Amino acid sequence: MVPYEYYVALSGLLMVLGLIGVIVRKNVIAMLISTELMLNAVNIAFVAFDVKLHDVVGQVFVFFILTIAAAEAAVGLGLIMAIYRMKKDVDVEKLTELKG
Amino acid sequence: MEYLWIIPFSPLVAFIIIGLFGYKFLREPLSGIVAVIGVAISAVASIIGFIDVAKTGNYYDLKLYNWMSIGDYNISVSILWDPLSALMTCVVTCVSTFIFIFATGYMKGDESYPRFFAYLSLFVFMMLMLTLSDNLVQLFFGWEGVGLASYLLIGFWHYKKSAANAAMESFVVNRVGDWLFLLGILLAFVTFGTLDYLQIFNKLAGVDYVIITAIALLLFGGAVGKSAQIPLHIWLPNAMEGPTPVSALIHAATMVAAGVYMVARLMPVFASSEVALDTVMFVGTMSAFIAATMGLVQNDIKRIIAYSTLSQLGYMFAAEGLGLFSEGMFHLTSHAVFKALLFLGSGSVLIALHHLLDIQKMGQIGRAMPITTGTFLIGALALAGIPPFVGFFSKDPIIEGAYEINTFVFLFLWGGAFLTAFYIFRLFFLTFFDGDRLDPHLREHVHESPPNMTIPLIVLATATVVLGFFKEFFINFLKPSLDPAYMKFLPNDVKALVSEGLSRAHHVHIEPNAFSFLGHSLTSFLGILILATAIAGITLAYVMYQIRRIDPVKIGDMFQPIYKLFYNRWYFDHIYYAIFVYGYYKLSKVLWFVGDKVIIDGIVDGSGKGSVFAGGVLGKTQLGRISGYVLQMLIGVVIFLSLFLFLK
Repeated sequence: MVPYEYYVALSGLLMVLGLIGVIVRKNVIAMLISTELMLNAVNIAFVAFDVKLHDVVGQVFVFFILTIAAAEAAVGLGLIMAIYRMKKDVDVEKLTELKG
Repeated sequence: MEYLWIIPFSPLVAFIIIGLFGYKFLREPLSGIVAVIGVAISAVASIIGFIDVAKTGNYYDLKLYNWMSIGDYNISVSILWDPLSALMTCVVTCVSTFIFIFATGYMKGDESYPRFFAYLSLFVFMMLMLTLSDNLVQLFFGWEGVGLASYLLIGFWHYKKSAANAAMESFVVNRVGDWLFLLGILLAFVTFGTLDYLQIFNKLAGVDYVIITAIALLLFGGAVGKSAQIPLHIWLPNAMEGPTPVSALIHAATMVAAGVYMVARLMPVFASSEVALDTVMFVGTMSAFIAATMGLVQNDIKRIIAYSTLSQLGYMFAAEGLGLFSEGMFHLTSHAVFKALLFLGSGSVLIALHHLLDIQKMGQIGRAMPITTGTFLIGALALAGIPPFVGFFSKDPIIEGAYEINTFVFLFLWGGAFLTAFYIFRLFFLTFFDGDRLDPHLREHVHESPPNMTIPLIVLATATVVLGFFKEFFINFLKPSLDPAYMKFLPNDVKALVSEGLSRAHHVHIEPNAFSFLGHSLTSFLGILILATAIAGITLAYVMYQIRRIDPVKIGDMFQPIYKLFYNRWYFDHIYYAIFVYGYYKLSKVLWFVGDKVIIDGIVDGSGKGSVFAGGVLGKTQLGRISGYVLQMLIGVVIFLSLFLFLK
């Protein structure tokens, strides 16, 4: 059996990749995908610790997160569509309305 | 003597009734009638009490109500009924009654008729609290109360700016005196541990001379303000903005005499200090003379009489300072009667002339108003000091006493007597006789006043004629209050002290009997001199303003600087304006700039500006890039997580 540390390490790796993706990517859709990646990293961590602790609460949580991730993807894509209609662009470098 | 409590509270009840129901139910004639009844009841009660005291010479100290306790001392609402307070109370209530009756005619048709009588009744209540008090606190209560009533009544026609200003001025100037008065009360309490007159008198013997002097001078400071003596006299002439019955009652007969009364009431305190007596004497003398010079050249009928009031109050203070307390109080009584008469006479003239005040524009109204003219003439003769009117019997003893005691005081009082006779007859001739300078439209409407105005004039004029012959009675009547040898409430050591203080007047002998005094005056050199002075003043006024042998304008040009000095009232108003009004304005401006503009506005505006500046600086950190925000969030999360881990 694969020890749970590997799963946790995988989860951490995915999390960092997702973060880096959010920070460095300029395309909003790519950033959204990176966010999904981070969510899934959390899912893996939940399942891994569940196996270790012999608990099922984490696995139930995973289903909730999957559901929310689907909803979030729908809302996120909707927002991106709205931004695209307004700006004809999805480049975050040009979306700086909040600049102080 | 329990019924004495009716005296102060009857006007108070009238005040409450008129105050509550005046406009709704009583309205024009009734509220005046209620006020007259209220004061008439207290007049009757005080006359009954007066007769009792006159028969027995006793004194009564009634404690009505315990107001508050300070340590061992209880401040009470009380009545001290002795000859002095009985006389003052009778003067106040009797003169008030006639002035109230006069006012029902004078205020006819005024839209604030009930308010006027409510204020007048309040005034009489406060004045009686002052006169009847047996301690300094109740005296001060009445003192402030009459000040309030005076303020309300001077500003009665508050829509006139000059009246509102005059009310404010009188209130502010009186505060200066009242502040000194309050300090005097505090010092007396610290020194004696009590504020009841009789207890203070009992403890006088052992107290340090300097402290007694300080107490007396501080209390006299209050009297200077209330009785409008120099240098706090400036409010009284301006107070003539009030309705004429107010001028007659408050600013001639009663309230302004409160200072004189207070000094007489505390005679043992003042007599214990020579410096205090001298101060009273010199302030009174200077006021008597300087106010008379101011009155010479004024053209406002009421102001001339107001300056005359200042001057006569000065005579009273001078008499007290000379140690002639009984003569001072007798002059107060006689002045209350004839000055009320003069003011009411001028009020009658004002009603006939539709409130024309300038005597240069009057003339020859005497024939149309015979009663007013006749009674005014009696009042003027009394003021000038012509026998057999009461002014002669009350003023001449003061001047003669001054001759025996202090030459300086005598010279000024003597000169003042000449000026008094001159200015009052200048007023008389210019108003009632002389040429016809009156506006023809007004001339058509000149008429004698209705009976409710002329009857008080006739009664007061009768009193002016008759009262002088009771001189001996009054002097003897006052002895148990003002002559140390007869004062029952003084212990022997204080009697000796007071008697020593009054020793300056011991060698003066003034005939108490009116007839022998008259005879003495007409035979001795001094008496003839004073009488001749008064007649000379009247004659000069007659020559200048009636037959016009001497042109007053030319005289004015000849003595241009003196004329200007008198006309501008010795520049007192100007100097006070420059120092206090303008100085206060400048000080306010400085405080406004430093306190308001710099400090308070600095704090308020500064906090706003600080926020804007901080926002500008911190706004620079907001780049608007999502990656930047995520990075900041990440750093934050890392910091908090590591803190969490390390601190665990």
